Amino acid sequence: MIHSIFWKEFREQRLIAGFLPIFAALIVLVSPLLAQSLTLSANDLTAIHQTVLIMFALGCGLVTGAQHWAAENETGTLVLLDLQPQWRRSFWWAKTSYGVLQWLLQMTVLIVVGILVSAISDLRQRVSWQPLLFVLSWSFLALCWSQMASSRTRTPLAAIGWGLLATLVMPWLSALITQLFMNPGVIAIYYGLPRSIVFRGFLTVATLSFVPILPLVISYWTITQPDRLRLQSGDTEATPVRFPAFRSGWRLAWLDVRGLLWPVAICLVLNVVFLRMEPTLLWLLLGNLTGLYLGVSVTGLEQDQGAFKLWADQRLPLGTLWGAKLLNRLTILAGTTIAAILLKVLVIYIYWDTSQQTGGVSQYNVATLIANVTPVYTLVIIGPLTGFAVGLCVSLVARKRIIALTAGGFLSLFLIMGWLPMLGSGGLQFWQWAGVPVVFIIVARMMIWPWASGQLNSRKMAAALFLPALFCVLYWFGVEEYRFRSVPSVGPLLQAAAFQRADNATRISHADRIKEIAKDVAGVKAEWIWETSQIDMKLHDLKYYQERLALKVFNDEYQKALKEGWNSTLPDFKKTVEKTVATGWIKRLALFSDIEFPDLGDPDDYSEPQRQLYYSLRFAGQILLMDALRLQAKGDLDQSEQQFRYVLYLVRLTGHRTPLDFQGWPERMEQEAMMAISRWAEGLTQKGGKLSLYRTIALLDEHLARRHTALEGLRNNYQARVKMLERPQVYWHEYVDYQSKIVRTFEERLSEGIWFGGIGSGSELRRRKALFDYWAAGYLKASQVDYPTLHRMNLAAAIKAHPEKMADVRLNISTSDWISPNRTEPTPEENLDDWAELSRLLSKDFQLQMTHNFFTRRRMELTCQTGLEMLKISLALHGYQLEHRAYPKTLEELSPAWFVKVPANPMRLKPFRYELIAGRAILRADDPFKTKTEQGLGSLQFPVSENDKLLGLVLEPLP
Amino acid sequence: MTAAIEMKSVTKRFGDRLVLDKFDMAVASGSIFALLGDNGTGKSTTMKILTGQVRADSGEARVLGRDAWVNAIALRHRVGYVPEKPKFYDWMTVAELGRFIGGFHQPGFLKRYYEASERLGLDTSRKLSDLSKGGYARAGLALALAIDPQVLLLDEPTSGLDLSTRREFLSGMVDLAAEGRTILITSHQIAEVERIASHVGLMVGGKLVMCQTLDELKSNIVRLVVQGNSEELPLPGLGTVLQSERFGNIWRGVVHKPDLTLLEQFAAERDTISFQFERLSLEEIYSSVIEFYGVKAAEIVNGGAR
Repeated sequence: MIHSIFWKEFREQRLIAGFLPIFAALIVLVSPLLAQSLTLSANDLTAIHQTVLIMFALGCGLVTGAQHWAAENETGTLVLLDLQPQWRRSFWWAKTSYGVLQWLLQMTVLIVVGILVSAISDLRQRVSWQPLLFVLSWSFLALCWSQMASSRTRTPLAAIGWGLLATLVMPWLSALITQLFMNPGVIAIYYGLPRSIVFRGFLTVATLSFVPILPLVISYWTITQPDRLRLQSGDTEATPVRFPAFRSGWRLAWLDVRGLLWPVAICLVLNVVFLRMEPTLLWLLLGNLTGLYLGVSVTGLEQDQGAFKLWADQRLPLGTLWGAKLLNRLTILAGTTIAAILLKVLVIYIYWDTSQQTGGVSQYNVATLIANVTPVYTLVIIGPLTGFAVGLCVSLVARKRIIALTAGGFLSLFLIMGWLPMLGSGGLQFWQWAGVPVVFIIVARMMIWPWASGQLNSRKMAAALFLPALFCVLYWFGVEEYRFRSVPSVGPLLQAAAFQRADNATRISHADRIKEIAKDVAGVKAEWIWETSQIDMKLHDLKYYQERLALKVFNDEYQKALKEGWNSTLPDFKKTVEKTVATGWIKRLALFSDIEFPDLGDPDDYSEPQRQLYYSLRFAGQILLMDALRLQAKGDLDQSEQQFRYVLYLVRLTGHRTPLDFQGWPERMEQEAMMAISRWAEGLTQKGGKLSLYRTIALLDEHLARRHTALEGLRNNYQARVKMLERPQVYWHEYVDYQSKIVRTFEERLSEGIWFGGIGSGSELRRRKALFDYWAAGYLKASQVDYPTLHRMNLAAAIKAHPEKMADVRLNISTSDWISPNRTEPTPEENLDDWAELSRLLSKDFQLQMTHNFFTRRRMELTCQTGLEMLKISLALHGYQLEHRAYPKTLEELSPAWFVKVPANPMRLKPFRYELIAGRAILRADDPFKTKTEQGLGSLQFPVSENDKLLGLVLEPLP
Repeated sequence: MTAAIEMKSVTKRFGDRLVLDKFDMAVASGSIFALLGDNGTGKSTTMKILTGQVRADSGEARVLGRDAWVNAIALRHRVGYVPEKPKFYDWMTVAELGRFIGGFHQPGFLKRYYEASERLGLDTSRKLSDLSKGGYARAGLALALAIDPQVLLLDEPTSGLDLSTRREFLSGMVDLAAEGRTILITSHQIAEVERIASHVGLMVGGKLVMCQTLDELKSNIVRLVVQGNSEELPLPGLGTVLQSERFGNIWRGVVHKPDLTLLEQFAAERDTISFQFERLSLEEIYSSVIEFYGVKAAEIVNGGAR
């Protein structure tokens, strides 16, 4: 018996059972080749491998379980088994055993492949159990639930469908129940449920084991029903069996709808299960496939079973019959769509509240992108309706439903993919896409009579597919052309070449201005200024470096050193030993301090003695710094300074490497050495601390002098600063190029992300380029206008758009520093209208990315200009203070000795604000860029507070 | 003689439809019992009840003295069954089918299966999907014979078989019956069945309206042709008139159990009356009975498809 069943099942299932794991193995093993062309990272590849393994494991379980009973039902051979002298339960056990055995073999193959490609890596590590458990658990659940479905359905396909649905639903349900009891909250308190660990553990195990056991029990119960009836009968006379009576109408309706429910249910469940996937894209896909299935179902069954001529034999008119079935399916499709939306909303409402705060929004990036530019109803119906229309048409042509579903699936997905770039870029209105499904529906209607009467020859079939396809292509190109033409073209004044000429002139004038300022600055005793500002900066950054550089690096290195050699030592004793060793080394090295060590180069190239010396020095430096820190904390400044001196020796001896980071550039090391020293001065605001600080800096100066003079350093630093200030001035022509590249990269990314998107996104790129030109031209134009003018224009536009909200706001600014390029002198109202039109054409994502960068650049440029002017004034203020032993009372006093005219704030074209507080000179500039977005006002932004909008410079009197 | 198959007051409904209505039947051991009836009269349901596939709503169905439903599993070692439309795994060869089914039966099954296949002219290396309809039916019969059955239930076994195969098949049944096996057969090939059946049961509307040996049936149901004064017709002692027609002063009728003595006496007293009997074929008997019970018989007699 067992032998017979095993033999039969093996012969029946060997092809598909072998194919699934082998195909999975091929995909997994070949995917690295594919990954090269897709430039996937190793992590991506592993994720893909794991996904493939899980999906195929799920498939193995589903197919194996679904075969058992549904296949017997489908071929009618269950009767043959029933006529054998065996109980049904024997068959059940034999078939189930075979299924489990086959499943185990399949899983073995998948797991071995998984281990080979490291998707299921080292099993000894606990974390690696997760993918393994995922593969096994999902697959086993699929096996159990599809076996249950197989016991209750007539075809394996239906069993797979229901099995998949149950596999997806039941673990969630079970997890929900478990979660409910594990975290009983108010329910437990209210009902007084016990909350002990034992109880929870019991409940969890019971609930989880319920998931795989339940389907097996149901399957066994269903299959062995004749056995039970026989056994219950015993020797007594058989009792009557009552069959439920159905009202024929409802029965017919149910029969018509029944076969459609499981795909619909799967669609809904997937919609909920993939909670973290972008809902818009998910629905495009799911809705499309569901629509396709329902479309195919209108005539697919009759086509599949060769019963299409029955249609022609009906008394009803063909159109009415077709229309009735069509409406039936459309009703189901509409219901599914509404249910999908409601379910999603419900699930998000229930589960998503916290995750929204932790980045939930960012996971909806592409969806947000599409939803922002495309009407919601389009997003909701484009997928289902396209799939439905294609399904209607294809099912009449394809001989089998499975062919119709496969071919229709490719076709409808292709159509959707073709629209995707437009959906995500500027939106897709209803009329722009609806022509395609309408044509498919019309063609399907026209084909009904030839189909039902058997006159649908190959020529008509070809026409039925070719004509709508041709129409779709023409329609698509028409829409594309319309969309392209709807973008305004840029006028001649703002063509790139002309603009760049103007921009170059601007840049040259900027550069001249900076050189002029540099000359002024060089005339002042700049080193004081520089030194003081550097010290201020160091003090300001002290905390940062202490956390980021000193403590972290030191701690890492120290911990490493401890692990390597001092693990067994008691802490106090260890410190003593470390200190002794370190200072011993240093003292010995100090004896040879006249010897200049060469640059040691890359430690990997050292000889063994060099390596030992190198690591000894490095370790010694760490110990010294630790000790210096300890001494500073104790207030023993002299000792601390001595340790710093040793540190500086180390810096010198090791080719200008600091003890903290031996791998960096020498120039950087100098800075970091200074920071490392400055770091100890935190909290040393008193006299002693300051003294210590200056001493250590003097020590560093000694070191710096070995490389270049202090003056050279100052000059270098100043030149670097000027360069930095110059940088925003090379703004437009480089930046526009840069942004163009971003746009193209964005497009390429979009294209790569979308199958068949090459044509669609390539064509859409033409429109985007035109949009970009128009949009960038507006910014280019704005860049030629001084800031106050631009500000006034934006203010006027904002007042027009939101008069009531703008009533009390004195200072405000729009992020859209954009002036309509096609108007010579647009009024604020016209500018606002043009901007609104442009916003409609652009996608939100595009706008945000581009506008933000342009805005930042604009701000950087103005901030640098402002900073430059302030630096110039501050130099003059220091000079004034050195001459008069005090700062001036007003800025005007700087003229004419220091300026012909004191520079004004370029942001406002008004004088800087200047105050004297407690002997300090405070120079301020309005920074209108520091703003926040107020809800309900779109892109308009407002200042945060009076203090936040100030760019300040506080000058300490020099000694 | 004991009854190998016995059904007492068996009733079976499917939904609102009454298929068997207090059905009574007894099939003697060693007999070849032909169960004849119109489409939908319940022949196949009877077979399913006897093979334990379907449970009777009420009544008693016994095969070899055991309850057909309760003891179905055990009975399948002794009762062979060939369904009207056998379904096998078409990807198997004839030999593989035997090996597969043999796994559920007692030892010796396979040997007998091969013998039966050979006897029935089956090529065991051929796939079932490649077999003709007749070949398919023969494979089913080979399976049924391979269990060495004491009772053989054949549900329309000859439909689809060609004439020579059909005759060969049916003559094989006679051999089996000669070995003491009981055969219950339903068929639309009434003429063929007539050649082998020892007993005949006629079903109408879920009831067995007639159940006799073939000889009894043929002697009880005859055609009577009477010529004479029409005013004196019908005659006394005719029994049940199943079918009748009149041409002038000639009266022809199919009668059940006529009283010959009474008829001869009546004729002897009158010179104007003469009569003669004709024996009927089983087809004619069947047709008359079915018509008598108000059922169209012509389609069945002509071998109309079920």
